[in-house]
Amino acid sequence: MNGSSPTETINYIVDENPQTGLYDSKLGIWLFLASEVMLFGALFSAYILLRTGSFSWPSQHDLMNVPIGTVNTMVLISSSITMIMSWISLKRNQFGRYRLYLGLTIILGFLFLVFKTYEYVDHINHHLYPSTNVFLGMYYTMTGLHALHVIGGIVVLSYMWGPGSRMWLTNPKRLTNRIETVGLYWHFVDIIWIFLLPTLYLI
Amino acid sequence: MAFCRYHLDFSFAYTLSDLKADMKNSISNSNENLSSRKYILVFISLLLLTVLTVALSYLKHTLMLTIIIAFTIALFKGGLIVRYFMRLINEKPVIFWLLFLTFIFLFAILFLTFFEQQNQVNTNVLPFT
Amino acid sequence: MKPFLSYQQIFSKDHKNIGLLYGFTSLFFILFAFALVLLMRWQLAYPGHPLPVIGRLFGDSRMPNGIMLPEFYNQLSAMHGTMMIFLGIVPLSFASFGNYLIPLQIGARDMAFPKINRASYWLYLLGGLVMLSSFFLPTGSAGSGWTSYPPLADLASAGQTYWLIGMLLLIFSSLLTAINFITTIFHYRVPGLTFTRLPFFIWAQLVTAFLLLLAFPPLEGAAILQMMDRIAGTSFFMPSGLVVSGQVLKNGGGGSALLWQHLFWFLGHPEVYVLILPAFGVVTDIIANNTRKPITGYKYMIYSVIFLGFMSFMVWPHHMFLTGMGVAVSAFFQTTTMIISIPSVVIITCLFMTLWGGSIRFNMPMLFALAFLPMFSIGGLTGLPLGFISDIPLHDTYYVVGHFHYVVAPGTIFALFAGIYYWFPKVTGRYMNERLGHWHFWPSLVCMNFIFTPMLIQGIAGVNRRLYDGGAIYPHAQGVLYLNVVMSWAAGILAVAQIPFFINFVHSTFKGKKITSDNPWESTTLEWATPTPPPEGNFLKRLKVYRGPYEYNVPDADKDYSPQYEETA
Repeated sequence: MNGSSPTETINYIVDENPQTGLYDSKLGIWLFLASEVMLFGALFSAYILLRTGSFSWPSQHDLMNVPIGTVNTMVLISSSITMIMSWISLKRNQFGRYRLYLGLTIILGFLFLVFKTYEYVDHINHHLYPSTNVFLGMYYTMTGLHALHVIGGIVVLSYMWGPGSRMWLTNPKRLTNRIETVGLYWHFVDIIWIFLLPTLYLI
Repeated sequence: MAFCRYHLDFSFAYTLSDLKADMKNSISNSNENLSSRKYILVFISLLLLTVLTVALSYLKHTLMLTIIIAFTIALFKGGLIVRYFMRLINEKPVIFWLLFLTFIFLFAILFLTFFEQQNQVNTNVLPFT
Repeated sequence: MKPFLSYQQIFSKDHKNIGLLYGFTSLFFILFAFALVLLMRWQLAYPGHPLPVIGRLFGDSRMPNGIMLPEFYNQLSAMHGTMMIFLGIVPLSFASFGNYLIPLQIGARDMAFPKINRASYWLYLLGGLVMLSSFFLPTGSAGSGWTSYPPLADLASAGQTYWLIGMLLLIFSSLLTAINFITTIFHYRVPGLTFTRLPFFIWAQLVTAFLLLLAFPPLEGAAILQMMDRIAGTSFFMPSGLVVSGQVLKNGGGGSALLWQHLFWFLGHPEVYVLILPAFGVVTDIIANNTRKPITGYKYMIYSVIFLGFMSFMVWPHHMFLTGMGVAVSAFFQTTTMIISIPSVVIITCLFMTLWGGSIRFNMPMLFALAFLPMFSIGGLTGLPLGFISDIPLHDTYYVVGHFHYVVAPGTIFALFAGIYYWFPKVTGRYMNERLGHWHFWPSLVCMNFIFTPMLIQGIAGVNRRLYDGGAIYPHAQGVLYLNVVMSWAAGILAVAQIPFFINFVHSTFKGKKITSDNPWESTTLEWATPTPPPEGNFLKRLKVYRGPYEYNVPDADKDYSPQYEETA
C-alpha cells in the first residue's frame, strides 16, 4: 500500500487499534491460535473416543519414557521464559539481551527436538511403531504434529534472530510487535505439550 | 544502537543472576513498567508443578483419580501461561471472549462426542478390541 | 481494458485482484464439477448404455465401450461433491466476493494482511490442482463420497490420498482467509461505521469466517489421522476383524469408523452454513437496493446470524442418526436442530417482509434474489423432517440429496449469480445484458425445479443415494425410475441455459453498455463510493459514515436513497 492515492494511510501494523487494543498481527495470531486449539482438540477428542471405547489399552506409564518426557517438558517451559524475556529485552531497548534470550529459546527448542528424536528412535528399536497399536498411533501422530509446530516455530524464531532482527534499525516497535506475536505462538506450543504429557505419558 | 555481544555461556546460573541484575536495573532502564519478577515466579511454579504431576503419577491411583489430578494441574499450568506469559490480563476483553467461544466449541467436540459414544445402542461397535 | 493476465495481476497483493482470481478459478471448478454430474446423469437415466460420441474418450478403465463402470460413477460422485463445495461455492461466495467487497464496503484500502491473502489464493489453487490431477491416476480419483467415510476411504486407491492432501491445502488456505477477513472487519472500518451500521453482507462474511476458523481444524485433524491410516498403517478408523474381499484384514485394529464421522461432521454442519451465509448477505444487499426500502428487522437479522453461527456447532450428529446413536443423545441433537431452524426462518421472513410495500425494480440481480427466497425456503422446509429422528426412513435417500441441492443450487448459486450481475458494473464499468440475463434466468429456474423436486419424490419412495444405476435393480424404485430420465433431460437443458450467461459475461466485459455513474444502482453502501473500476487504495478520500446501510426513501430526503458516506440526507 504505497502512496499512490492521497488518502491518509491509517494502519494498525505498529499501533494498536483503539477499539480492540490490538495491533493487526496480534489479533491475527490469537485467531490462528484459536483454530489450533480446535485442531489439537480434535486429536484429543479422538484419543478420548478411542481409549474409552477400547477393550484394553496399554499401560502408557510403562511404555513411555517418563523421565525424558518430564525433562522435555521443563525444556519447553524454560524456552517459554526465555521467549518472554527476549520480548521484554526489546521493550527495554536491550537489543543484545534480546538476541541472547531468543538464541536460548531456539537452542532449547532444538534440545526438545533432540530428546524427542531420541525417544522415537528408542521406540522403533523396540519395535514400537505407529501401526503397533492405537495408543502408539495416537502418540506418534499427536507428538509428531506438535513437533512439526515446534520446527515451524524454530524456523520463524531463527529468522527473527538473524535477518529479521535488522528491523531494529528501521522500525523497532514493529520488531517488538513481531517478537510478541511469535512469542504468543511459542507459548501456545508449550501449552499443547503441557497437555500432551499427562495424556500420553502419565494416565 | 548498541550491538552488545555477550559471552555465550548457557548455564542456568549465569542466566538467573543476569536476570536478577536485570530486575535491579529495570526501573532505570525500562521505558515500560515491566518487571521480570512475576515471570520468574510463574516459571518456577511451572517447573514445580511439572515435578508434582509426574511424581504423583508414580503413585498407584485409580484411572479416574489420575486423570483428575493430572488434568487439573495441567489446566492450572496452562492458565498460568495464558494469563502471564501470553499476557491475557493486559488485553482488552475481545481476546478473552474469543478464547471463551473457542473453549465452548472445544468442550463440545471433546465431550459431546464422548457422550454420544457412551449412549450407543449398537453393540457391534463397542468395545473396539 | 487494462492489460489482461499481466504479471502484476496474477501475483498481486491487491484484494480486488485476488478476489477476481478466486472468482475465475472457482467458476471454472463449478463448471467442471457440473460436467462431472452431467456424466453421472447420463448413467442414471440410461444405466448400462454407452454414452454417445464422447463415451469412448474416457478409456477402458473408466468407460469400456462407452459404458460407465460403477467405480467411475463413484469417483464422479465423490469429486462432484468435493469440488462443488470446497473448490467452487465456498471459494466463490466467501473468498471471491469477500475479498473483493469487504474492504470496499467498510471503507478500507485493502485487507489487513495482503501478502497472506496472496498466499491463500495460491494454496487454494495448488489444492485444486492436486484434486484435479487425481483424475489422471491409473486407479482414478477419490471415490468414497465427498464424506470419505472409513473403512472404505482408508482402503481406497491412491486418489483418496490426493483428496486428503488437497483438503489439507484447502483448509489451510481457508484459515488464512478467515483470519484476514476477521482482522480487517474488526480493525479497518472507517469512522462512523459501527457494527450495527454494517451492511448485512459484512455480518454474514464475519460469521462465516468464524465458522471456517473454528470448524475446519477438526477436519484437518481427521484428515491427518486418515492419512496416517493409509500411509503409516495405523488403525484409527478401522475396527478389528474387518473382512475385505473375503479375507480378514491384517492391521492393528481397535479403531472406530464413527470417530471419523464425528470429526467430519463437526466441520460438515458449520460448512453448510458457510455455503448459505454469504448468499444471505448478497441477497439482502440486493433486495434493499431494489425495493428502495430499509431491510425490515435488520437488527433481528444480525442477532439471528450470530445465534445461527453459534448453534451450528451443536447440531452435527443429525448427520449420524443412522449410526445407532442412543435415545438420549439423539433427542438432544434433535432439539438443537429444531432450535437452529429458527434463525434462518427469521432471516428469510425479514427478507420477505422487506418486499411488502417496496418499489420493486425487476432487474437481473433482483430476479435472481427474488427466486432465491422461495427456493431456499423449499430447501429449508424439506430439511425439517430430516431433523426429526422419527423420519429416519428419509436418511441416506435421494430426499436428502434433493433437500441440500435446493438450498445450494437454486439457493446459493442463484444468490451468487445475483451478486455477479449486481457488482459486475463496479468491477468492469459496464452493465451485463438484460436480454441474455433472461435467457439465463428463466430456463435455469425451471430446470432446477425439474431436477431437484423429483429427487424429493424418489427419496420418499425409498431410493437410496449413491446408487450407480439410480435404483434400477430395486423393486420399490421401479415406480419412480422414469424420473431419472426427466431429471437428466432437465440437467442437460440447465447446462445449455448457462451458455447465455457465459456469452453475456465475456461480451459485456468488452462491449457491454457503459455505466454513466459510479453508483449505477443508486445504492447506499460504501463500495459504490469508489471510482470505477476501483484503483489501488480504493477511495479518493477517507470516508466517514453517517447512517445505517439501507437508508432508502428517508422522509424529507431529496433523493430516494441516502448513502452512508454522504453527510447531508
